[in-house]
Amino acid sequence: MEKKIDSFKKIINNNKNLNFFISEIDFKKIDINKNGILGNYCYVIKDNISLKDFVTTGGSNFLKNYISPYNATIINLLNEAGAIPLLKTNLDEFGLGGTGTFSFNGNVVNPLDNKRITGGSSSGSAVAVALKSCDFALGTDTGDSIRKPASFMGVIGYKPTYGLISRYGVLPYAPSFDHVGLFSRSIDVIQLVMSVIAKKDFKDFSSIESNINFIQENINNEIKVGIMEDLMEDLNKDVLDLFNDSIKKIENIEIKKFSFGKELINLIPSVYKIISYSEAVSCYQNMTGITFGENLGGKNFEEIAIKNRSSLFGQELKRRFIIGSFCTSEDNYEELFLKSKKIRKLIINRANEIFKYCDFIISVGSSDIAPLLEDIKNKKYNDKNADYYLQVANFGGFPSITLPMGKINKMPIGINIMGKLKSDGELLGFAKKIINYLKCESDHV
Amino acid sequence: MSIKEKYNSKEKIVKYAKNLLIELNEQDIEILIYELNEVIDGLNDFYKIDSSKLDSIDYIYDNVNNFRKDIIEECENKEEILSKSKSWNGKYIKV
Repeated sequence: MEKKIDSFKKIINNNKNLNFFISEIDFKKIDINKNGILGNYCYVIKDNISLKDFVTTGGSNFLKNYISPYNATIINLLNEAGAIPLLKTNLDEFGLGGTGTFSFNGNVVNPLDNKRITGGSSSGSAVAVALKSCDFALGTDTGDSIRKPASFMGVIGYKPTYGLISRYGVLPYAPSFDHVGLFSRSIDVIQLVMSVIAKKDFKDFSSIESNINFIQENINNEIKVGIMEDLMEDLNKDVLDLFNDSIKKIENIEIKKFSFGKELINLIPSVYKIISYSEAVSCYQNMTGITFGENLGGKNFEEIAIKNRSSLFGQELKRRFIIGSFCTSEDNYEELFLKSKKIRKLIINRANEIFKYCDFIISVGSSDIAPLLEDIKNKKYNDKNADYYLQVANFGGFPSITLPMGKINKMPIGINIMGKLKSDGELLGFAKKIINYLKCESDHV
Repeated sequence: MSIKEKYNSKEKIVKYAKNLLIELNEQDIEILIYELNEVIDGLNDFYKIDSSKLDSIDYIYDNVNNFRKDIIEECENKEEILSKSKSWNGKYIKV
């Protein structure tokens, strides 16, 4: 094990310039010679997940020196299984961002092309796996924060059914959308880790009982796969051709074509923003710097809170909070927030309707390869239907996984599969089958 | 007043920021007006959806609240709900 850790450490040290981690784990504080089902596995932790006695920043200036007094449940489960943590990885502040450019610690650099973004918010975790500096990585996914960077980095990114992994000890973004998930280069590893961490946790009231068999090897029966035609129609020709070629390689599937409904797809980004920003502003109302976090001082409560919140929150966070506050104010609550919740339910109902006719919905992991940082800064890059669609899995808590599909202009792009609630075992089994057919390894860096 | 006009107000943005104990600079305000308009524009399609279709939607039970629904359904009275809720980290779940 020590040899393996040394080799991972070497990769980490050689790639410090990529800014993909916030802190390294001090091995004096942990036992690295533990037995257990994951005793031979090393992992990295997105820095919005609490690790006892280590700094947990959430990617925010506000918590840059905050030492967590307890472990997140998921960390306890991994500890008990013998897994070794290596790093706390960089992220967009509290998960509110999709680019890897909104951390107090600076931008995460894409190792495949430094001019392009990594995607986010689990940027550092995606990079750690792409660099082969760990066996798996913990991330969180509120809109597409695991699956989009996985697509951009050419690795596997998996968000399970809502509630399967406890969020106790995980800094929130929008609790009704938030999921903890995994990155890896191997489905086998994801299956094994899920069998360890998918446990009901009485400390997380949204946690559910799992009787799922995650290690399903032989999915041999014919699988009905749904493809949404209206998600595909605005894709670039290169991406569409690669997707169609990939689908042709997968044997023993019956393809059924559907329309998700343009009317609903168009509403996804606004519904996502209104609900997630509203939940986020509620989650961070208590962050004043008085009871915990950085405190710049002041004469009274108001002065301290204004000073801290104005100076320590990043620009993107402040903007999202204000929009959230707007949407939940007395004047706008019914017209914006409640209506968004109703539309969300319509979108979930539509997905469930489609699942009556197919086992999985397949789409792309992103509408294009990782965009250029400059295009993001100048607002020259726009998401497409296929990008918005990833959020449907968060709306309804559906399990969803992005796998490497191929490359365009030497940059990776993923394929995405979404399944019915609690179909995670079958989803991972089917994902394994797809990887075998596509023969596309997560081996880009 | 159109929806867009209703939100396109510098004063309102400053007011909401103040409620959140956040001070904004001029550049922040400009970006916020732009982004708010983007969100509001995205909502135009709301109005294409038949409102009667929306009225009947049970929006309460999303991911989080589904759990509460389970607790409520399996308990016979309020005391039982509260006693079950108490077991979660010693905190009550509001029911």
